[in-house]
Amino acid sequence: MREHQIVGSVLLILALLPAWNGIQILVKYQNKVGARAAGGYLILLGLLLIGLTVAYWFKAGKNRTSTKETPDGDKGGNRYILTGLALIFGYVLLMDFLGYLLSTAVFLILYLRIFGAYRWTPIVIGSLIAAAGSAYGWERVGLTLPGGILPWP
Amino acid sequence: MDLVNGILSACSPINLLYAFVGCFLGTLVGVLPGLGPASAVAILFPFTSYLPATGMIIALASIYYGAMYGGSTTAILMNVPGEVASVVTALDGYEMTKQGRPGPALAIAAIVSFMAGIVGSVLIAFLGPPVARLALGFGPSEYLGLGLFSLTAISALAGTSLIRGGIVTLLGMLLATVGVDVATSIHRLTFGSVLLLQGFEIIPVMIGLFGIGEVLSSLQEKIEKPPGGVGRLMPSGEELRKGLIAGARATVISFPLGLIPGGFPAIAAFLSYSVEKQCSKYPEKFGKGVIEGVAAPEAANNAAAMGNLVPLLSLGVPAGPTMALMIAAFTMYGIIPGPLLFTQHAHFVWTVIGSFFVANVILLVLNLPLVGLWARITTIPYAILAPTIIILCNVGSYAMRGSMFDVWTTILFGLVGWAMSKKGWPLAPAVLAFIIGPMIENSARQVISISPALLLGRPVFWGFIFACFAAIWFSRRLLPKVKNA
Repeated sequence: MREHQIVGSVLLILALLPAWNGIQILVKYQNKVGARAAGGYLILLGLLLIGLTVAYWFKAGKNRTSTKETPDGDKGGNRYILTGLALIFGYVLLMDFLGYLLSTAVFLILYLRIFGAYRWTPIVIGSLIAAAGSAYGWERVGLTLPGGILPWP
Repeated sequence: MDLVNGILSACSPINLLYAFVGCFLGTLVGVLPGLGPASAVAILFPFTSYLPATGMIIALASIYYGAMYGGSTTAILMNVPGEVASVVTALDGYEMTKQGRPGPALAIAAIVSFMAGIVGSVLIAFLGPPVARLALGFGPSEYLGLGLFSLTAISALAGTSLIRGGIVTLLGMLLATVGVDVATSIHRLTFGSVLLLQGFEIIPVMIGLFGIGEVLSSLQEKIEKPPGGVGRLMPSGEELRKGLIAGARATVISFPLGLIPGGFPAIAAFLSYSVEKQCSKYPEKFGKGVIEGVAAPEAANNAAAMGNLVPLLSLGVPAGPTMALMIAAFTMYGIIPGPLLFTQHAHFVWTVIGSFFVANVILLVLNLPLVGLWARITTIPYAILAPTIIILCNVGSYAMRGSMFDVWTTILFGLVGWAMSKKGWPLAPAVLAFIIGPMIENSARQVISISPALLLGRPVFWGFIFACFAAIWFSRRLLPKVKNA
């Protein structure tokens, strides 16, 4: 499937969702004051988005040129993106369980090792100091961050 | 007299401190590769929310100006523009660096930015109140027209495709509807989720789009190493004269552009560069390292940014993503930007306008001596900068409501922002539509509840509708010629 078809399909789904939700509101709240406006607005936006998506589909299909193609040598770049994303997702997942301090230290250690290729000892020491120092700083300015399994911050 | 009092109030020690720290932090973040003014304001916004209302606005405005200058620094030194407007600066600025003259390029950028900022501040002081008085007569029809014109202009001017701009605008408007409808308490686009009931906050969305998204983009791009030093700083007398003339011309052209929603500093920069090239006795030298090629877009950038503040303060309409954040800042303190701002919060608004003068002076004083420091900061490995930015983004998002939902929102929109940027889809229309969409919906509801026929007798509304078509025509016919000149 060509890129513009994938994008168009996603946009179509994003357009149908509000249109459908708008119809549900009109049906469910037909006697409520203001319900027609609330639901009608969603339907209007959904229909406009459908119209523009169809226009995009046809125009992109006719042109069949891609904008901002990444060069062939950028397969390495895509690998960096995926790795970076995985690290960021992992960081946020861990923050809820381990808390800010530990999750930040783990994130920094892994990131610096993978992307910076620094040695383990300075990475671990530096990351722990940075994580603890920043946690202390946030606490001083009155910012409450997830504590997780540690009693502090 | 109000302006004088505002400047005096802005010169209080605490306000001066906010302006200084804002300029410093803004320049610091703006100097980081890949991050521009919108990113800087988005990332630092949560940390300014602990300040009083005046302090927060002063700090945010200072961050904005500082980041604009910081973005120009990386454009000149490393050919890595911090934002679209700096792309034009890089054309001649980086060439001057390659010729061993980064110092004069950086210096003229600072000087003309200062000049444009001061002129813009004066114009805001003179234009703001009359525009606000004019807008006092606006009813729902006029606000509906203004909202439609704003979104059309932004969709048309933000990118290369009107269809893409329109799609992104509509997505932004839909995003703003998620949650509980204030007028009816009906749940919209929540799909039974308790989390979605609270809706999306603009700050985590923007931090994602302009913070995380830019970091992801930078991971993919190769960033040139900056040169070691900047050498002689000040331009020669002749360069200074040429730069000031180019800067003055750009200021005159660009401030009115900034008054229009969607009249981004980027468009002003392109237009001014194009005009300067056409006015020059040696247009063939543009793009090869001429001082006017740096002065014109830099002055245009600042002048248009100042112009953006007039619709913000007087009409409550953001002209760009950063102004959308300013509205969020105002709203946090229960201050509604718009026609009543100059009457109900006169001291506050004049202090803010006065702070624009002060911030521009501080920037000139700060950046010229510290240009060597900013150049050195660009040498910090990106493997260290990137996780720092990511941590700041996550902490900033969490700080807004103490909710991990906002952090996940930031990550999600970071991914969306990266994907959109990679494929050439504009981001700014979504952000502005998020802010302006509710205004359009409320105005439309009021018009319909009174009578749709109300629109027939409202010439201002039809004036805005005509302006919509003019914006589309301008984007189709004139803008490509300006960018290719």
